[in-house]
Parts: sequence; structure tokens; C-alpha cells
Amino acid sequence: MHLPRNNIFFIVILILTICIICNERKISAEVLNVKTIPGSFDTILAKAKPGDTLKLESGYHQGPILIDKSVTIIGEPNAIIDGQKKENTITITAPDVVLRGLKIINSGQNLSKQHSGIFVDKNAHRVVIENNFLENNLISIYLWGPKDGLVRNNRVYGLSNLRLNERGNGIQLWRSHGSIVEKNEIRYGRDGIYVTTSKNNIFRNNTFEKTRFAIHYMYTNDSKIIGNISRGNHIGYALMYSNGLSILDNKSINDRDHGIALNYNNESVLEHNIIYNNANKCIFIYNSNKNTFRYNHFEGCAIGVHFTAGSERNNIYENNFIDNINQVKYVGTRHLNWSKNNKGNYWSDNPAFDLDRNGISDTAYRPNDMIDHVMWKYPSSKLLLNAPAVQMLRWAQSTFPAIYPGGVYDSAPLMIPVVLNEE
Amino acid sequence: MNIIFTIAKKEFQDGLRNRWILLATLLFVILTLSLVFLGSAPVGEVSAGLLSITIVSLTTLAVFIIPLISLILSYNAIVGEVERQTLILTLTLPLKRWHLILGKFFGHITLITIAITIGFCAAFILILILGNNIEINEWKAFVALFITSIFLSAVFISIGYLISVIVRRQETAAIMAVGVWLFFVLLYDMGLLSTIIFFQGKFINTEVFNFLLISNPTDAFRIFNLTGFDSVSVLSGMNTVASKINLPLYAPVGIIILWIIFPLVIAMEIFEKKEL
Repeated sequence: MHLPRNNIFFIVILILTICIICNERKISAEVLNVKTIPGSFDTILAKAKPGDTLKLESGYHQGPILIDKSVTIIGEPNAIIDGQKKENTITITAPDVVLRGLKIINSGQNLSKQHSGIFVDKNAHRVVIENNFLENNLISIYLWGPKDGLVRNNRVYGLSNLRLNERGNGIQLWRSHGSIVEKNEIRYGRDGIYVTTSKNNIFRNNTFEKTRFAIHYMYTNDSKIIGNISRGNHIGYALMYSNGLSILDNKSINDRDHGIALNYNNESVLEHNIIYNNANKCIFIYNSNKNTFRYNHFEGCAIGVHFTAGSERNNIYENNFIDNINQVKYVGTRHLNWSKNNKGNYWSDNPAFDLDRNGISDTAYRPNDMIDHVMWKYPSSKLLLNAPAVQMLRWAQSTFPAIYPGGVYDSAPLMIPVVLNEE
Repeated sequence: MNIIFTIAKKEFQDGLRNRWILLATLLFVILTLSLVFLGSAPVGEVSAGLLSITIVSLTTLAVFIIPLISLILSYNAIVGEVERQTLILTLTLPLKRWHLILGKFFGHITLITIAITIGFCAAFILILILGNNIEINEWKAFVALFITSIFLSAVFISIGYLISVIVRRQETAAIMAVGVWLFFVLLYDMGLLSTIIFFQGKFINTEVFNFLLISNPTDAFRIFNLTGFDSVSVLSGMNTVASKINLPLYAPVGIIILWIIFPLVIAMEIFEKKEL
């Protein structure tokens, strides 16, 4: 039977060949060197196969460049890609691209055309942008729709020369679900990270200085902001129109306006944040509902918390309010009790005793504008407020029904500050 | 020195005979014991807190009562004798005028010390019975309260002498004594608080405010006892204040001692020149 044996033999060889061809990409992923000659990159990219690595030698490489294959691009120390202020310095349109160790400069300066240092297009899923240095670009990194991108360990220095609203943001995300932005150092430009209409992102362990809003959230749900440090920006964390966020372990130090600003933000959890020494408000809560604020530390601001615009059903308990000139500014006429399960907050200007030794002050705390300010300026006036004479007056006053027009009070103020984990 | 001791002894015996000191002691003991009982009622987590709770309550009580009984004891020291005409008799003896003041002062101090000691001992015994596991630190706070109470009483005895030496009639002295008590214990604090709230922090900076606060001996007494010891300051809500005031611990005590010495010295001066 010659024919069947020949057939089998033929089929086996065919299968083997197909396997070899399929694995050829893996077997033969090459490292291609790119010299600093203008046009060299495009030439070599054209020859590259998906999975190859392009290694840029030190020196100036002329941009802008377009990456339309799934390649890895790494730079030797001091490899610079110069966009020459034309358009995006680097545009990525293929998935699974890796950019590592490059210095990327001089994108175009037209904001309406979204000129960016690295522009990642809608199909460039799973992009990895790591260990790069971006300087003098308009929008430094723009994730414009890819999923599961990773932007890690980059130094992002935006523009400082244009007017604030003409500058681009450091890292901008639009509809880029599942992105992870972590361990970046972001300065200048407009906002540090600006994200809109994305979901399931994690922004972790970034540091921000001298930006407008360190992190600016719009219409972005179910995401996490963890461990970031904002220092000397206008606003630390501006969270607007977003739901279901976890905001944990972040720091806002010496920001100009607000540490955290919530605008129509619902069902989020804010825990273990430290906000310190802001000129204006530690935290601004505007029309935000059903959030939980717990284990946060608000210290040294002009206003501890500005709570307004009908924000309802928030749980604010086990936080520390220390040395703010005005601990609470509440604009509204409801009676709000800021405690839960018999645990309130620690207020540094609370002059009450705790004679039943349960760690909870014996009388409720009512923030009071005039007395807050006095206690902030003269810490030892706490002693006056529990002097026998004044105590008698306060007791007499408290036996009359309160005719206050609403207000925040804390029925179980803590006697000692809450200890946050990392301290 | 013998003269001063003799005068002190005479004053002491007069005071005992007076029965007023007996009354004051009884009052003090009853109030102290009731404070201890009240403190034992809310058990909280550990009943060892009984002593610290008692110290906090006792401080407030002491600020009210001790100036009162001290002033009542001493307001009449000189002017009463003038009116009864026993002073002229005493001054015929070979003593200097300031010996008289100092001797009577020590006599009065001894009386008050006995009253305070009996009150504190009663509290001490009751706490031993009711409480358990009390640490050394809390006892330190208790002893500090005891000693500063005696100093506080000395302050107001001293002021009482000053009143006694200035006025001409007993009734005037009595009214001035009540006025002094009201001023130091009630009005000063309210006045200071109203002023700083009214000005909302302008015109008075923090150091000036601290100085104004501590120059009142009753407030110095409260600062020392409520912020000086950790176990107490947690209960009195002063635990962060203590670190911010930045006063050394001996500053309030120093002020109190100054308040003992100065009125007495001024009283002695005025008494030297007084026409009888």
C-alpha cells in the first residue's frame, strides 16, 4: 500500500512545517540596533517582526516616530527621541508594545490636536511604558483608549513656560479601562494624572509636585488611588463625578487649595489619608453622597473640612482633626452626627473630660467657628474652657433646648488621636 | 524666731477654739469622700482609673473651696484684732511688726494644712479600699495635688493678710475677701475667655496669653495638676495641650510661690507704716 503510507508521511511533514512556521516568531525574535541617523528608526521598524526588540543607541534620534508593530523598544543610557515640536513624539498603534529606558522630548504644542510625548491609540492594548524620562512635551503620556496599559516608574516633567491652561497634563487617560499607573514622578504641566471615562484603574505610589491637580478624576468609576504623595500642587486629589473609588494611604502636603476635593463623588471609601498644612481646605466635600471617611488625618489647614451642597449619608468617623483654624465649615441646616458605632473623631480643640474612662469624651463636640479659631490660636485656652466658671455656664446653656439651625456634631468624640498604620 | 513660733502657736490655738476650722475640715472631708465615691461608680475599663478620676474632680473642687476657706480664715487676721483692740496689747511686747504677721501666717498655714491633710487622708484611705492596681505615677499625681493644694491655700492666706492690713473695718475686709475670691476663681477666667473670643485672636499673641493665664494662681494650679501628669491629662482632655504649652513643669509652681511671698511682703510693709 504505497499511497496511504505516502499520504501519512506527507501529512506529518506538513504538520511539522506548520508548527515550525508558527513558532518562527518565537524562535527568531531578534534584537535590532537603531543608530542615530535620521530615518534609521523607520527603516529598521519596517524590517522588524512582531516580538522583536529595537535597541536605540545613545544620542539623538529624530522623531516623530510611529510604532505600528508589537515590538519592544529599549534605549541605551541617554537615548533621546526628539519630536521636534511637530506632533506626537511617539505614536503607538499596535498592541503589546513596550517602551523602556528612553528619553522622550519636544512633542508638538497644539492642545486641541492632543499632541503628546507618547500617544497610545485605541488598539494599543497592554502597552508597557516603563523607566522613561519625558520632558518638554505637551501631554506627556496619553492613553487614548487602550485597555490594560501599564505606565510605571517614569519621570514625567511637563511644560512650565505656557500659561497653565495651555499646558498638557502629565499622564492623561481616556476610556482606558484597566490601566495601572504607578511609581511615576510627575512635575509641572497642568494636571498630574487626568483620567476621564475609564474604569477599573489603579493609580499607585506616584509622586506629584508643582502641578495643578495632582490627580484629576472625571466620570471614572470603580478605581483605586493608593499611596500617592502630592506636594505643593494646587489641589491634591480632585475627584469629580466618579463613583466607587478607593482612596487609601495617600498624602497631601502643602497643597495650595484643597487636599482632597470631592465633587458629586458617590459610594467611595477614603481611608488612611494624611492631609497636612494646606493653605485652604484639607478636604472639600461637595454634593457627594454615601462615602466613608475613616482613619484619615487632617492637620494644619485653614479649614479642616468644608462640607456642603446637600451631601448625604456620608460616614465620617475615626478621623483626626488637628489644629485647623476652622475645624468644620458646614453649609446646611441639617443635624449631622459624625460618629458611627459609638466612635466619633478626634478633635484637637475638644475641651471635654472623659471621666468614665472609655476613651470617648463625656460630652458631645460641636464645632463652633468662633471658639475653633480661638483654640487654634491659643491652645492653652482649652484650660479656660473647662475652668469651673465657664463649665457652669456651658452646663446652664446646655440644659436649654438647642435652638441651633442645624449643624454638625460628634456624639462620641475620641480622647486620643487615631493611629494610622504607617506612623 | 521664738517669738514667731509663740505667735504661731497662739494663733493655732485660737483657731482650734474657733471651731471654724473644724467646720472647714468637715466640709472638705465630706466633699472629698463624695468625689471618691462618685468616681468609683462608672467603672469604665479598669477601676485603677479611680485615682486619676478623683484627681481631676478634686482639682476642680480644690480650686473652689481652698481659696474660700483660706480667705475666710485670714481676712480678719489684722483688722479683727484692731477692732477687738487686742492688737495694741500685742504690740506692746518686744517684737517687730513683721514678726507678728509672719507668726500669724504660720499659725494659719498650720491650721489649713491640717484640714487639707485630713481631707486627703480620708480620700487616700477610701481609694485604697475601693480601687486596686494603682500605679506609682498616679500616686505621684495625688501627692503633687496635695502639696500644691497647700501652696494654693498659702497664697490665699497671704492675700487675706493683705486685705486685712489695708482696710479699716471688719465688714470691708469680709466684702473684699468675697470679691477677691470671685475675681480669682470665677471672673478672671470668664473675662480672659471673653476677651480672646471677642478679639478673635488679634492684639494678644500666644505667649502673652499663656502668661496671662498662668499669672492667676488658681489657673496655674489647674495647669500644673491637669496637664502635668499623663494619667490625668488623658482624662481631662489636656493631653495635647500639655505638649503645646511648652512650659516647664516648675513654672506654675514658681508662680504660686511668688504669689505666696509677694502679698505677704507687701502686707508686712504696709503694716509697718500703719497707724493704729
